[in-house]
Amino acid sequence: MARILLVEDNETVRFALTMLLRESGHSVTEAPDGNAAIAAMSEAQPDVVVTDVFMPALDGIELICVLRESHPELKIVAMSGGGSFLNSAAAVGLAEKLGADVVMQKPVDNDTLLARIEELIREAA
Amino acid sequence: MVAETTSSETGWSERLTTVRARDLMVGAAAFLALLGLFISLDFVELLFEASREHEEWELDEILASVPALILVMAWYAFRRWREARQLNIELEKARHGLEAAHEQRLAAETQLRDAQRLEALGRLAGGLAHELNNMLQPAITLSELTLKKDTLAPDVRANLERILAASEHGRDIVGKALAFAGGTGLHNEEIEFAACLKEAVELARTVLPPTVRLQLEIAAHGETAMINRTELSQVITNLMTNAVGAMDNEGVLTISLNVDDISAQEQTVHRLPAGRYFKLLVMDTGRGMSEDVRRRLFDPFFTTAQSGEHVGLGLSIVHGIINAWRGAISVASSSAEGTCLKILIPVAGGVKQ
Ligand SMILES: Nc1ncnc2c1ncn2[C@@H]1O[C@H](COP(=O)(O)OP(=O)(O)OP(=O)(O)O)[C@@H](O)[C@H]1O
Ligand SMILES: [Mg+2]
Repeated sequence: MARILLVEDNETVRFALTMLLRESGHSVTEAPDGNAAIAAMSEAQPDVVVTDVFMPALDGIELICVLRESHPELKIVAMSGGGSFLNSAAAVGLAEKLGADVVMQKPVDNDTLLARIEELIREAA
Repeated sequence: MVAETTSSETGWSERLTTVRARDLMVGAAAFLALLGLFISLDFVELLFEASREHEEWELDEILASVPALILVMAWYAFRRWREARQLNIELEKARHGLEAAHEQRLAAETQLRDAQRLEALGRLAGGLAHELNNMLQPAITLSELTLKKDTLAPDVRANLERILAASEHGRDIVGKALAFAGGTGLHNEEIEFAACLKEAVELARTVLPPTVRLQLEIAAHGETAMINRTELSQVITNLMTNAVGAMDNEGVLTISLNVDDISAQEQTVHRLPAGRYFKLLVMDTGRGMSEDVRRRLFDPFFTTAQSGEHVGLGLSIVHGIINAWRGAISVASSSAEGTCLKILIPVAGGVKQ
């Protein structure tokens, strides 16, 4: 099972996804935005970062950039809810270009999210 | 403004015709009056006598010059008439040119307004979708998780299943609105368009009842476009479903494809850069649509369907996808004989962006 850093600004979404990930045996550290995620990196030592794309302070796109620089091996899952500013197609394309390993459209399906994380862990091992 | 110009122009050409008719009448009357006068005066006799009395006046030479003068004047009048006719033709041509330019501008303006309205609706749909997807995430995740527990009371389980089903329905609709706002987010790749179109049509054949005849006229083999197969399939399925609906399940559905440079007019009307485009036509023999329907065709949630299964997102999604491909879709024609939708899609490498 993996150590996961979950970056998501919406509290209820964070609660639900944390519960999902914990119930399938992962250990989860939560962060409400990109800055908090970077601060939590050294203590959490995550195998996988699951991040929202749009967030208030340091959004997912920027977070992916920063993390790719500092942790090239890290596995990243980006979730996008669709576009309020960027259109979703552009955001997804951008997240992929910047190096997210998996890009998913919200609401993400429980089983698909878990399966993708399993794959990433297997790849990393 | 437009009406005024046209009416004063009709007045002008009418006036010209009246003037000509009046001149002809005056001419005819004058001719008859002069003829009568000359006959009653016995003019030729008078002339003859005068010429005999005044040999020194050289009347013979003067008389001989009259028909010569008449011939020359007739030739001159004929030349002027031809000149005037040529001028008229050119004037008419210029007027047609102006009218065409005016119509083209009006069409481009309408298209632009519609495009701006759709863009605004797209932003609205995108923003809403973002918020709704966030709210649907916990609803779906938590009901699925809770449903896995076997300690649930049967009535709680049933209600939770209802919540999950409703949330998933919501997710599907939001997904469609999102497709309108910016395509589906799927990756474009360079694919052979004609072959993919045939595949998409085959996949969508299930929406055709046996009473609808499908006619394929596909050219442009071997040329490619930067698009996505799944999206193309969705576009074709939606267009075919609509056509079948408009034909009340009976008629001919024609899908044709060719490839060509777009005209200057197509560039302005569809706001597309010049270049080589696939032209895909989807024609049905259905009931057509009113001007009002035509204007709102691509609006999200616009439908004339009575049954609840149509939400009015089909063409909005098609519009979103084709925009994401940097193409354009429009109604080429629609009447009681049927409707023709025209789609332009850039050939890969054929358009300078
Ligand atoms: N080929 C056509 N001929 C005549 N009218 C059409 C045609 N295609 C679409 N329309 C009109 O445009 C409306 C909107 O079409 P659209 O596909 O967006 O929604 P819908 O078919 O009503 O619902 P949905 O596609 O969501 O099931 C239709 O309700 C219909 O009135
Ligand atoms: Mg439809």
